[in-house]
Amino acid sequence: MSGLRRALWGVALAAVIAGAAASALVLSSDHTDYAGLGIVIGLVIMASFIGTGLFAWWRRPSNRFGALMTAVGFTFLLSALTASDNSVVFTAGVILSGVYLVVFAHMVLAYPDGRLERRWHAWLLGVGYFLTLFGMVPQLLWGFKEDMQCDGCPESALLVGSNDTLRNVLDAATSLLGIGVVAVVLFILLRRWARATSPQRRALAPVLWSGVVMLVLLASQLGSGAIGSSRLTDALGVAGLIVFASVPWVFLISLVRSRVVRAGAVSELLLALGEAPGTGTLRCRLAEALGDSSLDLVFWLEDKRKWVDYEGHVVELPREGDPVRAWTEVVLEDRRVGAILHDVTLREEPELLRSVAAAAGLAMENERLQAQLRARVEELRTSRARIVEAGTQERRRLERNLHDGAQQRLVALSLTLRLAQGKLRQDPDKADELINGAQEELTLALGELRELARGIHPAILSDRGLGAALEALAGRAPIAVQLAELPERPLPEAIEAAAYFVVAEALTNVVKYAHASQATVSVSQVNGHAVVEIADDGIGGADPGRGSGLRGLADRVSALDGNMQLDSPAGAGTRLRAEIPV
Amino acid sequence: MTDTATLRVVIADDSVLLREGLSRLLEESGFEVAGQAGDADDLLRKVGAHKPDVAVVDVRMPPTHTDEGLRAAHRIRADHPDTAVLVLSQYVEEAYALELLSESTERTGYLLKDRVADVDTFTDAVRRVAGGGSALDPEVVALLLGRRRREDPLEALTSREREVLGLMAEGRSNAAIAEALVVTERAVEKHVTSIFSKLDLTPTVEDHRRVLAVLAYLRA
Repeated sequence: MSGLRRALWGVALAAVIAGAAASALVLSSDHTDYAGLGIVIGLVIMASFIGTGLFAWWRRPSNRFGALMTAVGFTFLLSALTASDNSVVFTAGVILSGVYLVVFAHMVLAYPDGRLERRWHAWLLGVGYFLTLFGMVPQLLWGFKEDMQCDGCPESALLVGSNDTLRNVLDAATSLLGIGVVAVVLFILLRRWARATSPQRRALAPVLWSGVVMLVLLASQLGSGAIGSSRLTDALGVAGLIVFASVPWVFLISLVRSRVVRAGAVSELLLALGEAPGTGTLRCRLAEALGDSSLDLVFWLEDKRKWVDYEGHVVELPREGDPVRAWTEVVLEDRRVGAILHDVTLREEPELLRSVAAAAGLAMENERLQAQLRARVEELRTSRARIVEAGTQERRRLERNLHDGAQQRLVALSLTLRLAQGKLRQDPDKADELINGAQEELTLALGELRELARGIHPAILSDRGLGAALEALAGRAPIAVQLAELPERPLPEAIEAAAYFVVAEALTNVVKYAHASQATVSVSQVNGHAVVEIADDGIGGADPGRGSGLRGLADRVSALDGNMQLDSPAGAGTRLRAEIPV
Repeated sequence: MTDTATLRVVIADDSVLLREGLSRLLEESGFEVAGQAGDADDLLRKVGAHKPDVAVVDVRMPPTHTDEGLRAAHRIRADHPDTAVLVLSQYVEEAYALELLSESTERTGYLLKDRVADVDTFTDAVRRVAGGGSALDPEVVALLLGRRRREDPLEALTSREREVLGLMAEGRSNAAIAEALVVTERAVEKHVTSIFSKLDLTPTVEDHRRVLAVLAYLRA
């Protein structure tokens, strides 16, 4: 037997002993009418609270609601102390007899997860405890009011004399304050109801509404007590007691009912999915089965390691601890397929979530494939836009380079030649000097044009293929670049070009940022893919979002249906890997 | 065939402007332009017909505008061993140069096209290949020398030795190197011996063999 179960059995045993002791006390009382009836009613109420509380405690040990419910049962028992013939015990019983009401309010406020929502709720309950503990003290000090007097009850142990006015004033004050506290609790509960989502309401309903009714009755009772209508007070007391006694049963019934209903929902879901697998209504069916209209589905793309929605847009999942939303993973054959996004209250029913998620696996896999397709289309659309944009930018850059470089030099050259022509007769030496200058300028312009042309598309790539082009690239790099592996057979032109530019850009980045002394380049053919890998021995920590260069390359690679990964742990070099299907 | 005799040249380039310019420049420098060609086939035909001393060939020519000139150069070297070939390229592409010079450096050259503007360098290169030697563009040589190697024995060379190595790779003779560096031929010889021992190469006296060894070393 686990520690928890042992402890719960201990509590149950304590309840039996306490119940027996209370019964004995009532039976031995010489001022209690209908002792038998009182004992039966009291024990039934106590047992139903403690029994239900322990059951809830056992099923959800982490949820304090069960413990609170058990505590209501125990504190309810304290009122039996008023049956004592001993003055001190009787007095204590009078003081403690209202405590269970505050514990009850605590329980209702903490429903369903066993925690109070706000700190000030605890303060509110503190005020409640104060009022119940001291509410009877004026009467204990200065004598009971007429309607509270009982024949044969022992005298209050606190009695100091008689002061009706002071007693009545204080009594009315505590009653009013009590009504105030009850009103605030009611306000909290009603507001909670108003704000709840439909699955939350379903979970809240049984306890919240019986709590509300009970508290309304209590407030009325306090109010009628304050105005001194004893018959109304009694009637309300009886009604309150009945509602109070019903709370654990309502809770228990709703628990059982939801279980039955949900079990039915899951089997209905299985049937529905069997009839029409993979239809777009999967979301609706799951929403129905879980009773959560806000439910949504997201799909897992293993290659991108991202979640996407139906449209293929990347989505973020709610974080652990999100107060409203939660998600449950859907797995098919040990593979993550997607997730159900749902209201956080559904966490209260993990078995249900598990069975629904299990039932959804296959249908969800079908929808995942569609979402994957849409994600690819979406990605292609954006990367195509980026490629077009990159093309435009590249043309702009070329135009600028031509304009600022070669073109300017040629204009200057034309001027210089014109000048030289003018000097040719009068000052041949000067003319010679000018022409020499023009020659130098021309050499620079030619060099710039050559570099520009090489950057656009190196001729060697189309003439001699990837291997030769990469060798040329490696030869020009200011760090040692080793070509570890090259494909034996030529690859299609577009792939060779992409591979070349991936290596070129990667080496540029290595030189610029990596502080590397050497780099290794390999291009191989693995499983129908051209795999391009560039590794360096630099400082690592490269940011994949850095610069437009890598982004542009990723687009270029993805335009060929490939993908690119950057692995750059700080201090351990950088490895860029592109895979392009051949 | 000697330096004093008029050297006969065939020019191949798809740009008429450049062809005419080259032709005029060569004629002014004392060469005889035996023919001009606009593409590789035309070039091969004219080389066959005129048997020139040198063919000056552009790498890029119709129809594909890739490396027709290089392939034509190989054909000429194979079919007409007496005709030297000087390839002009728009690109500083060591792969092309080394491809051209890998089997034999005799009567073969690779120059950057811009080089034609430097008349002396250009005509010197034409004469050198016509005379049985080789010519490799200084920029290509610089690229080869500048390559980063993991354990670079070139780092053991003095800067003067690197200069000498570069000039050797360009295809220059000891006398030409001495003239370029303004030192005695004897000093150049000493540098060459030192370089060969540092790079662990077998010494050789013949110029074109020496170039071959140096290039083979540099491309490795």
